[in-house]
Amino acid sequence: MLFWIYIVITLFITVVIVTELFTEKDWKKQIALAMLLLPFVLRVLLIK
Amino acid sequence: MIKKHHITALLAFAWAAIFGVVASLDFAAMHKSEEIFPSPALTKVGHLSDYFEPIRGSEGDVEVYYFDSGVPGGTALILGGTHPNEAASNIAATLIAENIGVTTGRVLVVLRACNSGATCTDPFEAYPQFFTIKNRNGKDRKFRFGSRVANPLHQWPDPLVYTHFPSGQRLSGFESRNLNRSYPGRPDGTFTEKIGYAIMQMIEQENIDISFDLHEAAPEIPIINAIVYHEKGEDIALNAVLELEMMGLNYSPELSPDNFRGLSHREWGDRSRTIPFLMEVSNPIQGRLRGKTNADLITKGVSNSYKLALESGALRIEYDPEGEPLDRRVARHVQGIITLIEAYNVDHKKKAIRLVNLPDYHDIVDNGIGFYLH
Repeated sequence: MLFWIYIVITLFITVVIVTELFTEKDWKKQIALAMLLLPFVLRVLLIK
Repeated sequence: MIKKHHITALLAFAWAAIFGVVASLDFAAMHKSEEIFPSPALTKVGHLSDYFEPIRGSEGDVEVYYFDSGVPGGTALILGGTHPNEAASNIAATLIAENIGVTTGRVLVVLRACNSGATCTDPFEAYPQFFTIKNRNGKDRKFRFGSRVANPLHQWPDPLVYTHFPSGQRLSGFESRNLNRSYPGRPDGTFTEKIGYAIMQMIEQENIDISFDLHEAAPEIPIINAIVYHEKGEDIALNAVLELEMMGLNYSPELSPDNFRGLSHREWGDRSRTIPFLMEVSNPIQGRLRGKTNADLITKGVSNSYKLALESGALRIEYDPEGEPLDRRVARHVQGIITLIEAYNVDHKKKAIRLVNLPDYHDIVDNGIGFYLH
């Protein structure tokens, strides 16, 4: 059960980062956000 | 209307996605099991889930190879891959499964006891994911180099403190995914506890008489090149160590501490009729001083850092200045098993286990492990 709660938390953070990515205007910060997104997406998709 | 920063966001997203896809393919490759070519003595292939149905189909469910002579005798269990970053463990079990013949009793072999751990590597260690060994036909056999513990995809999050069941012993949270801290396990426990429980069930239901859990450890770990034994296997261990000494092989006999819970050499022995042994060899890639970390370090075991440490005299380490090659580490495990079973047979004539066709220490060191892989 705790596993899926953590997956939901990770999914929430993923959505927050994607939202930030598309509202951020500085392209350098957008790249940083895109990279930051990777581990969260991989965990939500149960790849890593 | 699409704004400029939306376009740059999409470009950044696409850029990151390229890395994500490439990394994902790499990670996914670790979920594919190695091909195995069991010896003609194989009589049956089962699964760990045959002993505990709830793990069926999970990444914790692994094949169990049965080599039954058909002649009444004892039963041995050889467990490889408890810690998938200890390559000699899985390779020794593979070499045995591909060469073994049994003339009395039967032998069960598990190649990857913690299969989940073989699907990822330990974070921050820069470990390679794979290494290769050339077989006797010159063809590369590719093996995974995994993590010490189960994949967090299968058990997450780690607790801050891991409380072992049923002793209540407290260890770091990371150890909650360590199979060799999870025995005897429990049917309603964590992923790792369920695997431990399934292995205990197998030991009980198959009436395993003698069992081996194969390991490796960093050169600076005190229990190295050792045979750890449960007190009920003391005579067997000491007789075997003496026999091995006569062959010029030094193994340190270590009695399993009765207050260190969750380990195979303690729990298997306390909770079943089996006589368990755990063997350790020196593996530089697991050490803190290892230096350049790559597949060569797994197979050749040459570390200039450990050589310097040895020459300094400041550390008590088990490291051969020429290196600790996988050939020798596997050879020690195979010879250790052969000699321990011979020592067991002396006092268990009606439950004897007789093995044939296994190469001995010198065969493996002289010819290389690849010579014995198909």
